[in-house]
Order: sequence, then structure tokens, then C-alpha cells
Amino acid sequence: MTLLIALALFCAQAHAATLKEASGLVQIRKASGDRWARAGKAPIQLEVGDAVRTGYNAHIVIAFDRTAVLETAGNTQLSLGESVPGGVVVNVLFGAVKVTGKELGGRPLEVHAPTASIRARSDSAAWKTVVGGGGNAVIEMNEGQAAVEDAHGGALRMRKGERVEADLAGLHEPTVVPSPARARKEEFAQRMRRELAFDREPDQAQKQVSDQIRREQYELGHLLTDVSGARVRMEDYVVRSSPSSFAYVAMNGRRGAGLSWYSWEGFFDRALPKDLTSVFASLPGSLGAPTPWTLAAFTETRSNGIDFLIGRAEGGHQVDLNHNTDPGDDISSFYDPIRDVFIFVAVGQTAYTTLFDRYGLYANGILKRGWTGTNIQSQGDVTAASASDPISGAILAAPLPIYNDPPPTTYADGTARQEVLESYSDGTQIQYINQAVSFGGGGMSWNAFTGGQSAQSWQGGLLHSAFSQTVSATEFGGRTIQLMLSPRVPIAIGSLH
Amino acid sequence: MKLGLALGLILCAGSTRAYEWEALGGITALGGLNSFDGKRNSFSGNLDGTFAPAIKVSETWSLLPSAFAGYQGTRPLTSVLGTATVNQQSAEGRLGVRGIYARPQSRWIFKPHILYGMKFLKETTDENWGQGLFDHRQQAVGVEVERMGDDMSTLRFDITWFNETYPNYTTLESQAALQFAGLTVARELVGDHILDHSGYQFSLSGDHTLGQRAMGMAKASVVWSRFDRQHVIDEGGQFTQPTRSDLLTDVALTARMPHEWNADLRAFGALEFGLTANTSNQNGYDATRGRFNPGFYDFVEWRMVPSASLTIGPPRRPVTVTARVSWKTRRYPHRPPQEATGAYGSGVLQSTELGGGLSLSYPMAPRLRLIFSLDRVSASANQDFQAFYRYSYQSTTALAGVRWDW
Repeated sequence: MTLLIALALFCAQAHAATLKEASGLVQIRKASGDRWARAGKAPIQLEVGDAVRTGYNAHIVIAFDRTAVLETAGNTQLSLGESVPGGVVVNVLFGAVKVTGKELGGRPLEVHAPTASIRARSDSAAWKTVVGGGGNAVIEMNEGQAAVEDAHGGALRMRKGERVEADLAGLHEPTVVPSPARARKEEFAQRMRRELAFDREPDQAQKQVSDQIRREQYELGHLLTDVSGARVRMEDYVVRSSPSSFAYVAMNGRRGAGLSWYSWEGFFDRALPKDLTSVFASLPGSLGAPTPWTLAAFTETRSNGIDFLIGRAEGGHQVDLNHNTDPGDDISSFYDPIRDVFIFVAVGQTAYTTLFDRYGLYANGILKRGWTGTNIQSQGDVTAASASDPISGAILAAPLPIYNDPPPTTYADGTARQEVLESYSDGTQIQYINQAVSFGGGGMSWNAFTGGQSAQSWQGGLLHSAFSQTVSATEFGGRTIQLMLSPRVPIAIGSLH
Repeated sequence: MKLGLALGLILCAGSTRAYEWEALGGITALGGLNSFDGKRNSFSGNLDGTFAPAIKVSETWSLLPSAFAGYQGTRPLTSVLGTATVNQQSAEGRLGVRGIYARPQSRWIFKPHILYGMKFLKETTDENWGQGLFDHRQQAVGVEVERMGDDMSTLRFDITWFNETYPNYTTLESQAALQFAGLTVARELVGDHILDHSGYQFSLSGDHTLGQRAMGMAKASVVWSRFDRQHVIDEGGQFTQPTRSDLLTDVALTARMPHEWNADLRAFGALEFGLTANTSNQNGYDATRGRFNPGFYDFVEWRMVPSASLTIGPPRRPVTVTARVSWKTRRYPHRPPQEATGAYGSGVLQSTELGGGLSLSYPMAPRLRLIFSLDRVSASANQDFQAFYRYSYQSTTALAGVRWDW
């Protein structure tokens, strides 16, 4: 008899439950082993200590004798606990399980989550246990009654339709279980909220591209702010119209004011290399030896699209100013456009620069001043134009008016600002207002200019800032040419003093 | 309009039964101050709202139309342009529809999506709404495929075609005739709308549990952009026939770990490592020096963002305090740094940004929260030439307001 009872108990221990249904990915880890293996075809006998886990959307049904049934959704892991005589204990590590017990007759039916234990307290009972991150558990009572106990010994009795959350701190206040329709709506809303967050992701990556190309526009100096705080667009580039010439163009755009530009086009005596770095570097002149190419002519233009101020020079040739017959034009420093520094030139050092035999300055096509000469070796060798156009040679209807040479230059006290006024004996004038502009707009303070208002200090200071030039002429009829550009090229070619 | 019609057709195509639907959305209203290198800007505000009526068409199909509108008056610190201009205001609107197709018992979810957006920017005092130089329109169509894995892991792949146009931006060079009064003022092959671009975006992301307590997330995306009107510049500064093409790659690895002392005191830590790299076939050309700068637009950026949140109070209405530190360094492998005048030095241009932020979310009523945030960023670079763009600066933004979700 004793042997039979022992055998019956052994059998009860050996087959604690039966995995009756399994769909999707289901794995079992036997109590005697530590490896997960794919569950075979149901039914499968489970023993105390066996663990079962399910993959996404998998589903299993486990029957415990004839009184209790357990169902799980996907992504769940549980194990069969140490059996109490005639009863059922299930440990849920994570996921969702639903247990149903009928005609329990006092036999234990327990579910243990990391933060709570649930025990049936009626003849029939059914509840759902969902274990999430950190072991937090949500228990929803569907039928009958159950006792819920937290890790600190706190307990409460749950009835049908009640819901309670448990975490490491203990049990929360029970609430009413939402209706199936409400629960479905909440689940749907939660899924859609997740999708709404995903919906913004592609947009974020493309925004990186948008931000980057806008940033480039600023980095390239295409977007400047003038003294008054208004936006000025600037693009500068080189145009190669022939192998032996190129034009540097700085184009400006202002809202409601159209385009204005500065351009300098140089014509050389031979084909230039594709890489113009060395050509730009030698624009102010060269030390030691003449450059391999000679600037034969140039055209410098300032325009607002309606008005033009154009300077043209021809008959360019290289002259060593430090060894010509005019000691007054000796060069003591050169601007180096590559390093943006002024190089000291020793007394007697060979220093070549380009002199032009013919030059004319035109405001809206009207010759204002100019000169002529023949293979001049010093700027003093030229003859001021008077009766004929120095470039075209055409005889003028009336002699050119005399202008104040050199024109007076004044500097403002507060901000770095220079005014140059060319006035002519016929009452006409051309005015240049040159200004250093701070980042973000406004005039730059003189404090940023070391060395006061000397020519070199002025040019050096301008190289550290955005540069603005406003040109007005009597011929423009009250209009002005407003430019913002790098001062580098005007300094290199000697048109900004 | 087209979007509404498409949505209507999809809905009409189904049966006439009443669809289940759920309204999602939220509104955020914030006001605050920004200071840039010690200069404080005037008080301004941000306002945005999202409305998304999610519709359950059938057991397998759901539709998520969404509308977003926002105005930003306080300069953000996170934007790369946040420091480029003295003033910055933006307004944007987006309309999108996302379909979600998931068969029961299937691990796979298919999500076609379509989007139309507009963004308006006011960056200077003389710009008016709708006339901003960088106002742009965006269209995008794509599909995302998600695979639900075991152990709460997911894997998502998305491919999106997009097109972005800047109607107010044309190059000045193209506006000028090639010849103006006999003068040569523009180059051959000059493009007009050179910022307009279209392309494809590919992204792959996934998350997986890391042990018992942490979650890991990984994301990689590649944006291939083609600028059909922007020709590539050669060593002589002239345009060549090929057009610009960029590849922006972003990789992010994030580890998140929740911790709970008790029900009323929880914490959430996160650490993100990221890499962004851009490669472009476009070159740079410094016309004031005749200098060719190949690979001018290439860069590599590394980032690290540790953050921690402390959640105090009942889980449904907690007070949340978040602290965040960010470190970001960008290197342009082919761009030398410049001296204060713009003269080129040796080495490569490199900038570093160090940021920090604190935020507080305080529940006032169900679905209504008070929000406070304080962010500061300090940037430095080996670039001394900053007449056009600031690489070194300090900027702070403080905001306060409310957020209402439903």
C-alpha cells in the first residue's frame, strides 16, 4: 500500500502538467538541463522545474490535471514551480499569462511574478498576469477572487473586474479593469502612438541634409548682414573667358534692390595655368624676378545693373620700381594675397610691379579721368588725359575737367569707415565709402584695427572683417552702387588704399 | 489636396461600416530667452501642435494620417544653424499618411508612408514670411518593413524617396546674364536652383534587450542626395558636366537602462554613441585666391550623449527631471583651417561642441504638464576665420511652458 502511494506521488511529481497546444516559436528547458530546445509536437509532458518560453506571436496552452489551464501570448517565459500537494504553482519571469481554475475545491492555484504572488481564493478563478520591465506586474481579475501579496508582505483580496499593479515598492491601489472594447482601443492607440513617433524619423535624417546645405551657404560667405542688419547675398567666382584671361566676379543681391557686382577681368600676354593660385599670388607684384606672365590689360567694374563705374587699363608691363629712375616710387612692402600679410621689402631689393601706359575711368560711359604714356618706367611718366580718350583715342568734345589728385580721404571716429571723395572742376564728383562690417551686421570698431588709420593697418583690418563699399557719382542721378565683398582682390590689384 | 483625396479614396474603398478611430496629438507652448556670446535676445515663444486621427480600417490595415504645425521663435541650440544668424524664426507644416499592414500571427509589418511638408524661415529682419531665402517644400514617399522579434526585439528597414525644393533660392550668378553690357559676369553651366535636391534614404534600425535590465538600440541611415542643377567645380573654378551627389551616413548606438528604487522613485539612464559622415563629389573654390579645395564638403562627426532621468511620484503622473550632456566633434578631412583673415593654414579643420541641458516636466492635470528647460552649448574650433560663420561661441536657451497630450 505504502509502495502504491509512493508510486502515485512519484507519477504526480513526474508529470506536473501537459503542454496541450503550441503554435509559433516555443522552446522548453528541462529542469535537468540548461539548454533551450524547440518544443516538439504537442502534447508534451512537463515536469516541475521545466521552463517554457514563447517567441513573437506564439501561443501555448498548458493543462494542470483537470482543474487549471494556463495560456500565454508571445514573448513570455515561465517555469513550473515546486508543486504543492494537489496544486499548481507557475513562476512568470516576463510576458503575459492567463490562468483559469475550475472546481478547485481548495486546491492551491498560484502564479508568482517577481514583484507579486497571486493565489486563487474561490472555487473558480481566472486572472491575467502581465510582467514587464523591472519585474513590474499587472494583475487583472476576470473571474472569482484571488489574494495578491507583494514582496513586503502587503496583501489584498481582488475580485472580478479589478486590476492592480505591483512593483518593487509594493502593491498600488486597485482599479477597475477596462472593458474589452476600451482595452482594445487603448492598445490600438498605443500602437499608433509608436507609429507616429516612427513617422518623424525619415524627416529627421533629411533635415540633417537641409541644415548642412544651408550651413554651407553661411560658411562660404554667401549670406552676409550689412551695417543696417539687412541680408546681403554674395557669390564670388572666377570666369575663364579665354586661356589668357580670367575675371574675378563678386555678385551681390539685396531684397528689392536687384543685383550689384564688382568684377575685375585681367588679360595676360600668354596662356595661364588652370590652377590660378600663383597668378592671384602675383597680382600685387613679385620680388626678385618678374612673373612668367604679364598683365597686359584689365577692366575693373562696379555696377548696380543701371549704373557702371568702369576702370580700364592697357599697355601693361612689369617694372622693377626699386631700380628705376624715380626714387619716390620705391616699394617698401608688398601685400601677399596667399598669407594675407604685408611683406617687408628691403631697400634695393628687386620688386616688380605692373605699370600701364593707358588708363581711363568711366562713370556711366563718361570719361572722368585717365592717363597715357609709352612704356612708362614710373607712374610719374604718364600724362593726364585731357583732349582724347586714353583707351579709344577718340577726341573729346571738351577737355576733361581737372580733379583733386590725390583725393582727400577721411576716417570716421566711431566705427571703421573711410570716405574718399574725387571732385572735379566741373562740379561733378565720385565718392567711395569703405566700411568694415561686424559679424551679424553693424560697423566694426576701430579697436579691431591695430596700428590706427595707416594704409597698411586699414587694409589689414579690412581683411579681418566683411567689407562694404558704397559708390556714388554725379552721373548716377542719386543712385548708389552698394557692394559687400572680400577686400582681398581690390587690395591685391591696388584699387583699395 | 492630393493627400486628402488619396486618403478619401482609401477610406471609400473599404466597406461603409463605421471605422474604429482614435485621436492622437498634442500641443506644446513654450516661451523663453536665448543668449548668444553674452548678447541676450528678446523674449520669444515656440508653439507646435500635432493631430493624428488613427483609423482601424480592418484587422490587418490601419491608417495614420497626421498633421503637424509649428512656430519657433526662440533660437534652438541643437540646430547647426542655430548660431549662424542673429535672428531666426521658423514656421512649418506637414501632412502625412502612414499605412500599417499587419496580419495576425505574422512577425512582419508593412508600412507605406507619404509626406508633404513646408518650412518657412525668417533669418534677418528684412525677410517676410513666405519670402525667406531658405523656405522649402518637401515630398517623400516610402515604405517601412518591421519584423517583430523575440524578447521584445524589433528590426526595421525603411526606404524613402524624397524631393526638396527651395522656390525662393536661385543663384545670383544665374540671375545675371552670362554677358551683361558686354561684360562677362557668369560661368557656363551655371545652375539656378542649386539647393533643390532629391534622392533616397535607407535606414535600418533595431532594438534588443541587453541582459535582464538594459535595452540596446542601433540605427544606421544613409541619405543619398542628388543636386541636379549644381554642377561640380573643377580645379580652375569652372563648372563641369557632372552634378553634385552627396552621401550622408548616420550611425547611432544607444544603451538604455531603467532603475527602480521604489514605485515613486525611478531612474532611466541612456548613453548614445553616434557617427555622422558626409561624402560629396562637389569641390570648393576660393575665388579670392584662385584656390581649389577638393573634398570641401566631406566631414566626419562623432558624438556621445549620456543622459539620466529621474522620475518621482506615481507612474501615471510623475515629475520627471532629465539631465543631459553632449559632446560632439566634427572633422573636415580635406578642409584646412583658416587664419583670422581667411589665409589657409595646415592640418584639417576641426570643431568641438560641448553641451548640457536640464529639463523638468511637472504634471498639472491629467494630460497637462508644465515644462522647464535650460540648455547651454559651448563650441570651439581651430578655425580663426569667423567673419561669415561662427565656429566658436557660447549660447544658452531657457524655456518654460506647457504640454498637453491627448
